[in-house]
Amino acid sequence: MSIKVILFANYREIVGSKEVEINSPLSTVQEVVNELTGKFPALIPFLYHEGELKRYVNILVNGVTIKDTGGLITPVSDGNEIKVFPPVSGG
Amino acid sequence: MTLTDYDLKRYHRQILIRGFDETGQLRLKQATVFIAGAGGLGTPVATYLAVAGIGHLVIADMDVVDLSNLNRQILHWDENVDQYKVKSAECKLSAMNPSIRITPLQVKIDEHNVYALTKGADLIIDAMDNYPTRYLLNKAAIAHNIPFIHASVWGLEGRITTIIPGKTPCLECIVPEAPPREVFPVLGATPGVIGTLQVTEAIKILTGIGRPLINRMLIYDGEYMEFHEIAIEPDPKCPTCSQKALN
Repeated sequence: MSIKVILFANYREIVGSKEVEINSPLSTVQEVVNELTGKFPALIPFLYHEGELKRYVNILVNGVTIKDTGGLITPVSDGNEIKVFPPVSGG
Repeated sequence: MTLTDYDLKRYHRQILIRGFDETGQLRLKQATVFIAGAGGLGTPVATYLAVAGIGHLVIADMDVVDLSNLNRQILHWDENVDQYKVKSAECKLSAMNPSIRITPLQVKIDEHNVYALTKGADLIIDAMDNYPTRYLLNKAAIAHNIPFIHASVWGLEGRITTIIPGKTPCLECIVPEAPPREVFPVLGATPGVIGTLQVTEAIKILTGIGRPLINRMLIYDGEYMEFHEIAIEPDPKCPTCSQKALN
């Protein structure tokens, strides 16, 4: 199973690359995020606040926001592309 | 108000755009645009709105020019360091296009003045560098029922969407809580790209041409030269724009 995670802005800075390939057998977005934060623990304070995903984090599975598909319990499957966007504040 | 011979010649090349016509140019001449910020986004925004012939530009910014601004804030030069940004911007813009009116406001936008500052504007351009002020502008746009063109930048990335009260999600639907303030990295060309997209949106709305960037957010990734889109929807529980909040 292969899932591609594409990161933006400071998430990309923390990970050091645009994409992370995850090859473990995973069934939900939550498991993918867990796998990602397991590899890159420095992401945790940027994604979570008191154990909850920060409200401003946008996650898309194959271009569809998980807000419309059940949030972190949204299912994933082989070949999915997951994009993780933080808001940015500069002007 | 009518177009003069000077206007017809000065703006000839954009009047040629399909759907624009002299009517579109007259709409720009009659328009007032409020630009919140005269920094990285605000300076390209003000530049292209000025040369497009927007009749009245209101530019608000509290800060003075710092040397570290000059990699991106293209209306400010070395000789302007320590001057108020709005005065520096007004000087260049009025030389660029003497036929338009420019109102520089050296002011901190806050919850007390935001409604008065933006009253009478046809649209608001978000060229701020922080969410608390963006949220105030968002509320003012809803109160005045005028479009609000939101954008933000970081490094080689940018975000932009056009918010139209009653037709699109508002800023608080999209970003329900502010990310932390930071000294953000930024290449000067990034707000150049995003600021000119904001101007394109503003002129489309004022003239009625094209299809605005509504109900979707455009993400610019300059590092890989990609554009992405996120579909965005109103939050029925939004504390600012939901029916419950407005009643």
